[in-house]
Amino acid sequence: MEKSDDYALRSVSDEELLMREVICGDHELLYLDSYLAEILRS
Amino acid sequence: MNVQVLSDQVLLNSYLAGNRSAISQLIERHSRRVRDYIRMMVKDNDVADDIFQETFIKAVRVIDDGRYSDNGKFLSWILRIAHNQVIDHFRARKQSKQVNESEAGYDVLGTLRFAERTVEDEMVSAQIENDIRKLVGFLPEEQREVVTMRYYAGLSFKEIAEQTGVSINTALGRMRYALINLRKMIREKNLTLC
Repeated sequence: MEKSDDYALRSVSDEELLMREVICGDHELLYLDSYLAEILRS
Repeated sequence: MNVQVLSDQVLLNSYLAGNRSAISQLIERHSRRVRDYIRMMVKDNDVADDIFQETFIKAVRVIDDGRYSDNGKFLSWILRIAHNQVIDHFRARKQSKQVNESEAGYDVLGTLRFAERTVEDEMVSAQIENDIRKLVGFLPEEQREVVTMRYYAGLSFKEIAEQTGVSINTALGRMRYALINLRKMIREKNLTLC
């Protein structure tokens, strides 16, 4: 089950995976992700 | 220094030096995120498009006026402007229609607090960023690992899954819970993001 799920997900872009499976319509999580990406990489 | 940070800075500097197309490239780079952010809050594509335009008009005005202090967090800054534009939109709805706060949309604003950043907030901002970095250390190990690989190392979810020996689904789930837990800690500590 996991392998077939992964197979389908491999063709999806990273940003799309983030939006669909991590952010899930929660604008605060979208902000946090953007913010963390900028402060943790600097 | 991270290439992405350099690229935003390079485009901004290029725009300020007179290259008008540089700002279009910068806006295009972040347009999806900003548009998605606004849509998630207002849940209306037409309204979202209007607020999206207002957001970047305001941002460009601030940059043109020399009031933008670049600190490698251009996207976060734009998202805060977008957030405030959404608040203004809800306020206007509330005033014009005599609707209650829930109908106006205030209930979707969430509980994270954002601050308009000024040059004087440099030290405060640095302290908050430091506090946030420390919070990452309090995450469960598996979530901390995903955060480290994604934000510090810049790995994709597929790469994270491969390197940690889990499915992509599992890596995504850990990322989601990491963000949820960080949000919870930020709220508990009453941190204002800027």
